[in-house]
Amino acid sequence: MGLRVLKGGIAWSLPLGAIMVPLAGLFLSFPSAFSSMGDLFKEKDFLQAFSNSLQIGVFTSLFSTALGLSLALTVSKIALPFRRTLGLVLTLPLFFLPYQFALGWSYLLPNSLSKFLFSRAGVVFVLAGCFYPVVFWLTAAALSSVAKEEEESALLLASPLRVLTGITLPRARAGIMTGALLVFLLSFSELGVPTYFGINSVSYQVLVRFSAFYNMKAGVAASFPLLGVGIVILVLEYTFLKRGTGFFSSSRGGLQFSSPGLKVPGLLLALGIIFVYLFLPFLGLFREALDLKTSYIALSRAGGSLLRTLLYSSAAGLVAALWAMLFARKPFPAYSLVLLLGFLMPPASLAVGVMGSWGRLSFLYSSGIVLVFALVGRYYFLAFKVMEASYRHLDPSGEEAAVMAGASSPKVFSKITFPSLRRWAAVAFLLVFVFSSNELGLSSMLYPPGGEPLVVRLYTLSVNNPPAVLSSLSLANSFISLLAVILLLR
Amino acid sequence: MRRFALLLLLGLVFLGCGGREKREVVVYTSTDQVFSEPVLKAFEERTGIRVRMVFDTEETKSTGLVNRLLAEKDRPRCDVFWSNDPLRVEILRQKGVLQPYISPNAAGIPSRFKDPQGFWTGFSGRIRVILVNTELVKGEYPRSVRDMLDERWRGQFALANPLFGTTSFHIAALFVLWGDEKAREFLNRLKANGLRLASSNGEVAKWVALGKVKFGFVDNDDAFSMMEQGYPVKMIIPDQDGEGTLFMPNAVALIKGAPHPEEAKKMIDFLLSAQAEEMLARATCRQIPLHPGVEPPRGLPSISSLKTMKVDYSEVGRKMEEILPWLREWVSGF
Repeated sequence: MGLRVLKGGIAWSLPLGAIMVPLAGLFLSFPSAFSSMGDLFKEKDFLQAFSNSLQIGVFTSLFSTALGLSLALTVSKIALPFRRTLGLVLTLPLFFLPYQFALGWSYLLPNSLSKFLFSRAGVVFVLAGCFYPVVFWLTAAALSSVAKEEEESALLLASPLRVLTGITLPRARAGIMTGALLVFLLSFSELGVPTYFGINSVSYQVLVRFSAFYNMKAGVAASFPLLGVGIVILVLEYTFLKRGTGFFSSSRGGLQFSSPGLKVPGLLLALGIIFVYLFLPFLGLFREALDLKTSYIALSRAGGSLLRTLLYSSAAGLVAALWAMLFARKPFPAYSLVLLLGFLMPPASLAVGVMGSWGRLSFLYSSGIVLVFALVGRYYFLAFKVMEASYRHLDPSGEEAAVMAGASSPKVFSKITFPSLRRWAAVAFLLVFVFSSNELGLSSMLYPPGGEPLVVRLYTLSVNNPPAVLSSLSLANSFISLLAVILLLR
Repeated sequence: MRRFALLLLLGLVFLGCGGREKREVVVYTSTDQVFSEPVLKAFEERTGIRVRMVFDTEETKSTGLVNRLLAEKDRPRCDVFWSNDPLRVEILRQKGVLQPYISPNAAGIPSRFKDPQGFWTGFSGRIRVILVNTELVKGEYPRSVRDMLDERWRGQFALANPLFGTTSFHIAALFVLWGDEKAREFLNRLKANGLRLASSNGEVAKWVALGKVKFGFVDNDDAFSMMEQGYPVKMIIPDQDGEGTLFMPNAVALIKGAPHPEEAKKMIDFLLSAQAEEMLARATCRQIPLHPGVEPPRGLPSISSLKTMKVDYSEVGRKMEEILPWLREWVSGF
């Protein structure tokens, strides 16, 4: 009983401090915000924004899932040359801000073609290119968790395609669905890309209330529909994924398509996506930026902020991944919902809540710790969903055998559970790390004076500076994430 | 893994313990970092007082700092707010975030650029200009805000979202100058003539530079930045034979309950000095000084020979708040 209480206390301490206390303070400051939410839906403008965000979320999720799933199958199941390098290159779009892709595409395309971008379809096209790596990562992790013995047995009796559709994909369902869900939530709440292309969205409506009207109550009220949609999606996810799936095994062996006829199309698909979603927008963004001298000066002055980004994002990633690993197996009731609050709450609201509740503790507030705290509050949800999916793929028989043999719980966790899930934990850490490195809203509100992370420096210096400054700092920011990926997924 | 976690912890403690020197001043500024940082560094070198800076970003519509100051109102950690326009400091004054301070260096600055009670003081400023792509416009250039209504520019000109930044300032000033009815009619006709709405002034300048549109309204620092990068563009100061263009001074204010009030006053004195105005005039942003003895920047007239809109900034601030709901509806039609 005492252990359960202790476990519950530790599990809840993080969402309590990083999400519930700040948001409770915020809602207490604006008690009528919730009741005024109803009025929002009487506004034609807000209804249109809600509908746009919903469509963008659904179609980006579908498009990203199609891309991410195809690529994960191609890289994991077809014996392509340089598949590890391909896998790394395919994850690169995630390391850049979606806003940068919007700029890249709009600079690249001629006027007649760029009109397409200034539409919901254009926003979906750009966002799918930014977020498909989420599905790619999670699907690849899920595919590596499908039991090779099961696939190999099935291959004795059935065709590879039948094994793929009958065994592999159903077993990887949790990873694919979690990826699709996360992309939906990310694109539904995206601000930069729809705003740049002139598409009214819920996040834009929140920004207008905060930054044009300076009306925090209205801003908080406008955030509630984001949360409502998120809750509906969570309920759907639980309905579809309530049954456990799959068995754990190593990533080698199992179903592999070795036919040479598949290698060429597989390679073309991967290279085609790299060309369309990486090379082209970067060509638009960086073609004017080949000024080595300016890049060198910008980078040499960015050393401190680079180090701070590394520290803030690693700390947030580590805390979130650790907590998720410990507590995602048997989630407490409503735990996911609380984490979703932190994830979908607009950064400005969360930052104001954190300032209000933790600002009294000057040692926290005058250092970077408060920013790390807020980053964990925002992105713990990502890590939690990844680890929740990982537990759905875990075969409990190994742990059960160890327990029956008399091993203690910590020993079972460190010798069996953790090694089995370390790839998933790495993905959880990396997602939090990457999104924290790119988090502009929270960082610009909470960074200590004189202690800006790289993403803030990137955007404060990009205005009225040569393009080389933006491009070199932007590349430096993504290089940190790439380094983390190489180190953790090698 | 454990070593990594330990290193992280040490790093965070190190970050948390940094910056406990006594002689320091915390400055929040919405003026672009590339222009404001050298001025603040000059103050640091001259006085030995360490300056801890917080900059704003265009992506948060240069309003992130105002929201931050509002959220920190009960426990301020900022000493001085250097705003790139007087409207945001006016909002902060109304919300009780500022305290008055009249600097001795403000004496030479014309009274219409100062708050009468000393809550904020204006210094060097920018103007609204037309940026034209010279490869696309061969004949006569647009020379007035009203030229945006001309049929020959249909769908070929751009403006930033008027809910944010200096464009909101510009539109509110037109409402004050022309009256509500005429200004609303003007905006509706702009929309009918195919106005392209960008997310920021920086984007308008970039669209003009890359030939996405023929011309657009921006601030003079955006225009000079494109000119210095070698794009085929030309800057026109609008309405010099009519009602003038909008002049937007910087504004500096002392935060109520500032943790370092003496250093903050020194900083305000420095920003309002002729030396700081000279630095801003010589920088790429080429800001127009308000002190009578300071030379105007290259390519721009002095404040006395420039024809500017005759508007009261407090009135423009009030008008902006009043018209925002209408503007929001107007923007939603794009």
